[in-house]
Amino acid sequence: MTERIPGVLGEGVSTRTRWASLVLLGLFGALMIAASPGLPRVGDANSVPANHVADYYIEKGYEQTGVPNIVTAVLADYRGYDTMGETTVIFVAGLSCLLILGTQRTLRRVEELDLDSPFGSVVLDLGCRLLVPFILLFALYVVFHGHSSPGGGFQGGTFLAAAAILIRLVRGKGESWGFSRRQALIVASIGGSLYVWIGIIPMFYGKQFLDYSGLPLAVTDIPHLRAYGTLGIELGVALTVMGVLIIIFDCLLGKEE
Amino acid sequence: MLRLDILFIVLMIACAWGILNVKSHISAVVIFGAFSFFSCTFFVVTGALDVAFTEAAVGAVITTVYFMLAIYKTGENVVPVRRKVRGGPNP
Repeated sequence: MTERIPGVLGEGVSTRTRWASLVLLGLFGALMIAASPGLPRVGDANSVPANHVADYYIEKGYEQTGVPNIVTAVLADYRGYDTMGETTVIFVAGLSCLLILGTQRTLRRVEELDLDSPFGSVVLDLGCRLLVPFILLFALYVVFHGHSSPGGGFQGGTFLAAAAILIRLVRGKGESWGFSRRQALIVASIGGSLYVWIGIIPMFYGKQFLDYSGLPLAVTDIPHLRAYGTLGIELGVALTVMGVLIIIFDCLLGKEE
Repeated sequence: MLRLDILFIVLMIACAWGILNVKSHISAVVIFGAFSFFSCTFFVVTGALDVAFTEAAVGAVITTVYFMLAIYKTGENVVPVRRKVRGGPNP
């Protein structure tokens, strides 16, 4: 057995605690294995979700929502409430990181490596300059083409954040292209409120919450309207995810503005 | 018939075993990125392309960067700031 990571696995843990945790883990595993036959088999045609909603989504999804990718149609249109909850959870996670990590500085490095100044060489700098426009373009493609190919708001927002984080890693935080922590928080808030307002606006036109067929746009047929509503909330999710990931990165970096 | 999914699951288990048994934190994080990548390919094999996309973006890229950053802030060459804890032993 090789040497383990110090302090992670069991130094100073008594033998009784080890046996107790082993018994607890064994019981938990036995419970999971005992419960697993209750799950439907993969591809089972008689399972509950396959019987009730899946056929409906597959048959009616495109003609009702105008979105060829059924996953996007279900996530953003039929299950819009759930996606709004996920976006709220991500936003709250970013706020919690800002609250907990944003101010405290309980650890300090022995040798201060300075992330404020750019680090690396000409090669890294040029590679970053070459890569970032393509990452941004691909991120926008993923967001806007999520209707008919795999992708969508979460993935596109992650790629946008990855481009910003790459700039921060290579160029240093001083040259983050003007995208500070405060602006990331503003972008995340704009994304979340864009989602909620796209849900609320149809209520002024006699439709229900998150029913995109009530959006006041210049197109009249319902599938087109719902496709545009889906696009809007994908954009909101992308902005939220991008802002929150940049906020978490900056909080982990731990530098005050 | 070549069962790619079983191969990927075996590789994932090997990665999990490796994470627990490497010496440095940074190696563990890199193997964790490989774990994410294998689970991503497993999702592709089972046909869940959107989930695989999310796993590749979040699990293999962003999480690795965050872990690296956390190690950079709290790694081996980092000492906690000595603070006098009320009622605790003096360092």
